[in-house]
Amino acid sequence: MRFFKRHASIALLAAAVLMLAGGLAAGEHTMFFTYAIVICLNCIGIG
Amino acid sequence: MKLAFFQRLSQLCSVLLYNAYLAGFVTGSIYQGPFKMIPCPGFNCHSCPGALFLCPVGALQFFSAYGRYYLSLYVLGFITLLGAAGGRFICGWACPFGFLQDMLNKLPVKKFRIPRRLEYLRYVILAGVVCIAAAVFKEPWFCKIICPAGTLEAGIPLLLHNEHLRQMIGPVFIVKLGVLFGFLAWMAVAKRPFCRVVCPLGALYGLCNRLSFLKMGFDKKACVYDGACAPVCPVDHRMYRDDPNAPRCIRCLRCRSVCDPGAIHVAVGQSSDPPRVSR
Repeated sequence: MRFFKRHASIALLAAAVLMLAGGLAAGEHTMFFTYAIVICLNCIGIG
Repeated sequence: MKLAFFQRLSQLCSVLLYNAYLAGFVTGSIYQGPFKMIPCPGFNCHSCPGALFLCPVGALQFFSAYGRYYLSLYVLGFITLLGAAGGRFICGWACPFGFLQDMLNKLPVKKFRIPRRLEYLRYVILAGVVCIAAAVFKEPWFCKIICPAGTLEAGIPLLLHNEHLRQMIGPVFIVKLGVLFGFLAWMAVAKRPFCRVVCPLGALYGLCNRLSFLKMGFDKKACVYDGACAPVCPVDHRMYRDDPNAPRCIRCLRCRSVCDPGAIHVAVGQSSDPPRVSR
């Protein structure tokens, strides 16, 4: 626990990199791509 | 004030960079290239005709509603990466909506303070609306009702261009328009109300403030308590009274630039102990 407190910034950075890598490995970015290239009717307010 | 100029320049550049697909404003279409896979660091609607990047809040909601495991690792990882580097630094330097709020707050009208308790609402919106409500009801309620950026950046320009879309306008759009004008009026009379009370992205970045590599520090012995930092702070944070690394601070560094005794400083790198508040 003390180790994590001392190196909290590095732990957070490592967690971020792991999450990002996990998301990329799962192909989330392609899922978001298909979502973001069509006009979001909810954003406009007519969905 | 040199720093204030660079901050405004940075904010303006972020607006132009995030919305660099200028052809979209002419044709009334949206960008469909590969940058749309990358989340936008600031709060910017991806249905804006000029938007190059993916809206991280919209993406989190979309994944909560329709994803395989409710929370998007990709978007959370991206936000945490930026948060680990600078906490809410993006809010102060590279958020188009923050820039809009700063500009509107310059209007010469009577100003009001935002009660601090109201600032906890952004966590309720993040957890309750963006994550839980989207997962339970399979509807992006934040985008649908709350988000003023969608109405301003996507709704109005796209509806002006597309007759077909205009025919689909219903009561939801009227509600969203009311919400937008309500926020715009609030922005004129209070400092950064959207960032402090509503923004789920700012809430996530703020959670990283105490752990990020970029940290604010306050030296109580050097402070002369003249209050020079108070009026320049865009979020009413008080360095001499509050935790310098509290989630509220957007790290615009305005306070540091006006602190003649040099009591406020910036540190880069990880600290071995949690930051302390000097009194």
